[in-house]
Amino acid sequence: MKSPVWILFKAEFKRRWGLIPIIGIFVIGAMAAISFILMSIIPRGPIDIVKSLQFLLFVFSVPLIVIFFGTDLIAADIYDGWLRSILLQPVKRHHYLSARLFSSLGFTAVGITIAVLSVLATIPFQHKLYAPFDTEEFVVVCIGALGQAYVYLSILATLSCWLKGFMNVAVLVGWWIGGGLLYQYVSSKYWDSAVLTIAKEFIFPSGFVDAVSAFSVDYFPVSEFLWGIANATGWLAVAYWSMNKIQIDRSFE
Amino acid sequence: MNQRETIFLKPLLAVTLVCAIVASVLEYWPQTSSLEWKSFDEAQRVARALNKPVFLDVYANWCGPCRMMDRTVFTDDSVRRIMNEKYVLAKINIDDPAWRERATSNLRVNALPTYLIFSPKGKEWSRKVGVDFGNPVVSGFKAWIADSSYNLLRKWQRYHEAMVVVRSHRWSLMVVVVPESTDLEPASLAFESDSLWKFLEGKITPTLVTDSPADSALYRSLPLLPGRMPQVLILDRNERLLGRFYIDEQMRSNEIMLVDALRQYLPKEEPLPALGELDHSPR
Repeated sequence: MKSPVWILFKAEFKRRWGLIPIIGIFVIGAMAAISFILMSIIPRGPIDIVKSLQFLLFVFSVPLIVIFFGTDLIAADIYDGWLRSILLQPVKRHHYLSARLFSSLGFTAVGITIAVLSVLATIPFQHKLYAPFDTEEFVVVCIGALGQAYVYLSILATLSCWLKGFMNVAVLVGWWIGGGLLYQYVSSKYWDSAVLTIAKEFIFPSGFVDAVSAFSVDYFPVSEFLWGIANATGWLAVAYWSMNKIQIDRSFE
Repeated sequence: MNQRETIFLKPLLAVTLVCAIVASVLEYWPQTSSLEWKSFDEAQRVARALNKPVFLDVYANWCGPCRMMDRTVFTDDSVRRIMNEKYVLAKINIDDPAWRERATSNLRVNALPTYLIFSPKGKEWSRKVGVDFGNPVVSGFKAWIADSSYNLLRKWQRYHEAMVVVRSHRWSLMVVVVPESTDLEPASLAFESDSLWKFLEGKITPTLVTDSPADSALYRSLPLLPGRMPQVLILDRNERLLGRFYIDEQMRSNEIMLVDALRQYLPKEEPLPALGELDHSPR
């Protein structure tokens, strides 16, 4: 017997996969490729493809893809009655949430792949000097990008259990920008404060981003990856808890 | 309809907690270093005695990038070898109240980590803030500590540029000649004193010549003293030799000896012409 998560996962994929997501993914991929070409125009020695990909994925492609697939992640299904019809079947709430999250992660993985391939496809047409391609670092960047995308999706799922429409994305973007500004402020103004320096690391969950950055400066970032896993499991737990709090008749307990 | 289940919440929270605890322990557990770190004061004393520059690491136990450097860079064998051979090593913990004020005011530290290199006499030669040593960070850091481009002598003008200045100001040219294979630092010690430069002001322009491939033709054309000891040549604006001497051990520690040697060879200042001697003929 197949697991309900797998059945729901396939149903989610079929339901959401269409022309608009395909166009969206390819537009984001094309934007990544154009950004890479623009980045390569400025002469600054041999171009490090993996470093450029790291920058493009974490600053640009992953946030855009996640916003594209994570907006109104749960709330839409509550208000259009889809969740109600699902839960009338012998399906548990965490089955639904897992299927929803993993299908979004699947779309994100496709989006990341297209973005990476689009960037790599420009290389034969650009007659530039390239630094040696570090395959190990490339793999770490891709895993890190997927891990961070998963953390974002878990946060968006949690927020979407409580907020309608695009508000989950608005809160996440606000948190990301505000957190970044606060981080910079603390770093420059209170650089010698132990408490604030440690606290600033918790403003925004960025374990996988830190892990990839650390790997690119030459060491295997065990603690950063563990923080990333803690981010992912912690936010998944909060998402499951939020899911259990949803009242299907469009109110919350 | 409710279909709620909370049994999986506990394992998820447990994994989160375990990962967070292990990550914190790995990140903030005190680390031992095989480098011989001294207090800054002690390092300065030792540096003077050994004529070695001081490498100072200003850090904090809670500073992530500092710990990254401890974990990756300071554990690298080739980095440790250069640091132990070339420098007297010192560390300042910014949380130590005795050092905090001194680090922020006297050493102008305003971010962590800050790495400083001081001459044996205590003059700041170079500083790096943060861990932006390029990629990979170990090679970048190694290049920085092995490089002597922060050395005073390397900051002087190139020979031909210095000669232009000499010709336009009618000064003399002081050519410090150091073979490439010789460490620049001992030779540069002789030229660190401010009073020396006060004496030389308006009289001389310094330049460094080594037997590096770029300078080899010039090096061979100079009227050098025999041997490969660091030496000084004083040339006039027509590149004629006025005098030459070795930079010996005593000169490095006693600037008066260097001043005396220079005074001996510098052309005597010509007295100002009397008013009657000036040429008033119409041009």
